[in-house]
This record gives sequence, C-alpha cells and structure tokens, in this order.
Amino acid sequence: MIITFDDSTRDFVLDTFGKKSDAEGYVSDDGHRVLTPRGEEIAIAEFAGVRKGSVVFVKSDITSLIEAAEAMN
Amino acid sequence: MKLLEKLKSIGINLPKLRDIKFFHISVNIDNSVHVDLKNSAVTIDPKRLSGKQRRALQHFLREEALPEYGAILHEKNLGTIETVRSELPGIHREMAALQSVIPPADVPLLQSCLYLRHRFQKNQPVEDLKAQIVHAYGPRGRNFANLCSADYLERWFKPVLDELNVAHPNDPATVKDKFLEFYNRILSELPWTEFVCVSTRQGKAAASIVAKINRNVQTGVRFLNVHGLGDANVKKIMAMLPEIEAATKAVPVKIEQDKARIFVRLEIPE
Repeated sequence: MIITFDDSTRDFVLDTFGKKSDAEGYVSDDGHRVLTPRGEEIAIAEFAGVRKGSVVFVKSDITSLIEAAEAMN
Repeated sequence: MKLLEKLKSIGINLPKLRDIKFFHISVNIDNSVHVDLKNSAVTIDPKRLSGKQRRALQHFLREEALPEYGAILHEKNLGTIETVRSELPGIHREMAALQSVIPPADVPLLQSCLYLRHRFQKNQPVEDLKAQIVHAYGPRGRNFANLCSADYLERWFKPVLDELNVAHPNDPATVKDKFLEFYNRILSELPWTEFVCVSTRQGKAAASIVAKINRNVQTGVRFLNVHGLGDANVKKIMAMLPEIEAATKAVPVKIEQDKARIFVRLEIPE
C-alpha cells in the first residue's frame, strides 16, 4: 500500500511524528531543525515525507527519494 | 487489510472495500472519507475526524503503517517514487559488484548516478537530477555522475576490482584498500577523463585538457578521454583539438560523434 499526503495535510503528518514548521519555514523539533542523513536541513517546500529506519525525514531530492523507494520495497 | 481493520476500530467502516492500495490524507474532499472503489483508494480528511479518531490515526501511521509500508510521502513525489521503484531491480544488479567495496556514504550516490544513467539512456532530461546530485555531493558527485553516464563503472571500476580479486584471492581487505585508493583518486581528480561542460569556455577547457595530458605523461599515461554532451560541446571539442595537439602532441585516435554527444580518445604516440 502507498500512503500519501498533500499540502493541505503536511502539518498533520509533521505533527504525527512530533515535528512542525519553524518561523523560517524549516522542519523542526523544539527549536532544533530536523536533518536528513546527509546533514541537510529540510525547507517545508522540500519536505517529501518520512521513511522508516527508524523515522527518517525525506527531502525531495533524488537521493532521498531513492532511499524512500528502497524503504518501501 | 490491516488498515481496514484499524479504520474500523476508530469508527471508519468501509465494508465495500476488500483491500486498500492507496491511502491518501487530504482535506480536499467533501466528506471525512472518500472511497475510490475502482482504484482501491481511500482519502481521509483528518480535520473532519474527532480528536480521538485523529489521534488514533496518527498512532497507527507512526507505529504501524510506517514500519510496515516503509514511507509516507507527499503526493507530488509519487511519480518519481514509482519510476524509481521500477528501476531499482536494474540499479541493484548494476551496483552489486561495487556496493561492498565503496564507502557506505557513497552507496546512495551510486544509486542516484545509476538512476540518472537510466534516464540518460532513455534520452530523458537529466540536468535536474545532476544538479541535485552536485548539490548533495559536490564535485565528487558531478564526477561520479559523469563517469557513470559514460559507462566507466563497467569500463574501469569493475575490471579493476576483478583484477584485484584475482591478484589477492584470499585477502579482501587488501582488495578493498587498493580499490578505494584507485576509486577515490578517480572521483576526486578525473585524471584520465575530461567532461567538457556547456558553461566552460573553449580556452579554459583546452587548458584543462592540456594540463591533464602533461601531468599524465609524467606517470607514463599517454591518453585522455574527452566527453561532451550537446551540439555546443560537440563543436567546442572539435574546435579545440588542433590547439591540444599543438601543445601536447596528443592526437585523436578515436572520435565518436553525433549532434548530441561526442567522445574523443587522445593519445600521445610512443
């Protein structure tokens, strides 16, 4: 099964995993910006979702999306 | 089926559905739940659920759905994800030999470069992908993407690894060390190749090629492979060959060229 969301429910998904958008528009957690496995901050416009392992926040670049696709297999 | 049971347990009963293939979360529907029987798709508006139902849905997504289904994704990425999933078996085959010897941090880079190559081989645009790879991995990423697209995985990296395995049959640590020495040098310096890019002026590209040939000849390497994509680069490379030959005595021993790409092998005669 494939689970998706859209812009209207992006905050709901972030809240599901204890995160939110900070004042400057980045995914954050109690004032600390969430980082990808490669140490990049995630602007809300680039937030592509979450993947397992345990919970990894996904940016909308090809490397991150390939890792998400691997997690779905 | 698990999701149907979970939805039922939080008060959302969908008796007409046997299975759900797509589960979408959106407020852009008329009711709290929209069912698309034909596509086995369900959309839920969390704002129309009660607080208790909403919390139960979040708990399910976090604790059960993510571990079981692997990812929860923005719908705008679905097309890319579906394409990537269809390409993954081929990518896994192509990377199998190298996966265990390259640095773990480079495995996602290798996957990205192989995906780019699949798109490139289908004549699909790759500039956006290459820009993302360069953004994430810098010049090494650009070099790896270029090498991969020009089939150097098969022409250089895998043969070198095969030779090392033959030379050191019972010593995987030595094989890995020697391979990494080779691999890291190629990725950081591109000593035997030049990928001419559109934004590089002819004089600068020619100077870079001349410098590489002169450096290589000191270590006994008497060739350089030059690649270019696009009509402008084809013309640029053809135009600079006389200047390179005058400066280095390297002559083109092989030219493969059409309007979209060019490959030139330059060699200095013995």
